[in-house]
Amino acid sequence: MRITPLHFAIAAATAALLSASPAFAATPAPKGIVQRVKDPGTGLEVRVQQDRPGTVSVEIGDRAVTVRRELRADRLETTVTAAGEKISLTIDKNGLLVTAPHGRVRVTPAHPEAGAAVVRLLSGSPAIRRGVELLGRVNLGVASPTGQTLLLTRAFLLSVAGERDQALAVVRTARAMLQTARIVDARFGPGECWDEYVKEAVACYKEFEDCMRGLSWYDVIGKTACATIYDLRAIGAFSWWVSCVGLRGGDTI
Amino acid sequence: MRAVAVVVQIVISLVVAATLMPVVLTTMPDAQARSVGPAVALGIAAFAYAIVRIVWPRHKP
Repeated sequence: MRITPLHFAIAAATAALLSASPAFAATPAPKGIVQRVKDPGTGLEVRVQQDRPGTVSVEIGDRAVTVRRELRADRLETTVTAAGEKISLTIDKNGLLVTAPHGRVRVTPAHPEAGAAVVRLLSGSPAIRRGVELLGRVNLGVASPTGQTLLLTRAFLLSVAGERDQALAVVRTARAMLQTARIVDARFGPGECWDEYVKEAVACYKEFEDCMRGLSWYDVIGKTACATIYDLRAIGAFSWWVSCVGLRGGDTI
Repeated sequence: MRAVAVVVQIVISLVVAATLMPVVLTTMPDAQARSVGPAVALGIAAFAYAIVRIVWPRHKP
């Protein structure tokens, strides 16, 4: 296995999602568990935890396996624990470090050939298999940063286990989820046109009153100016309303 | 020529309505409702159009 852009993309996306979570954004952040979410897909509790400032973790687990992903300032650590087998995968500036009961492998950009050893180490791991299976049942929804984090964790575990096609499929799913929200061309109807017109018309008349109040009785030029401005604003607002309700087919916002 | 006169009369009535509507909306807040305000505006425009038609100078045959 080589450290491919896929791995770094998954790690970067996870870091971004964890950073976007309310737990990480809170300042000063409370310690301990800051969010508990019950996943409808598995019925399990997902815990977002912050033991110390600058560190946030997401954890889910059942009796068979526990998956934990922790983001620190300088590293992203994924830990899978199952039946006494603990596998740790750490991504930092030096590359990927995999620690398993049967060995320890470091993959760096300078020595990507060590990636094959990672796949050999993890491809038959029951802990990785159970972790992937558990994360595959998680269903926290599109809008949940925690759910997206777990989805990308699954993609990461699949990629280090050598299941490249499945990892890519998960990444495509995550990408589709992230692209669901979009800005659309929204229109408003005659009612909203009227409301906007009323605001402008009332403001226009109140400003006219203020303008006239500050003038002396003999200040004909000033009063003419106030009246002219009022007329222009009133006629402009009325024209906008007539145009908005029908002639132009509605405004976009 | 007659059509031009009608267009000018309509424009004048709309200008009158546009000028009066801010006063009406400020002094009678009930007219700000969506169900009332547009009808008031059209009513003022129609009334102004009728007045303009009445006072519009006519050529004697």
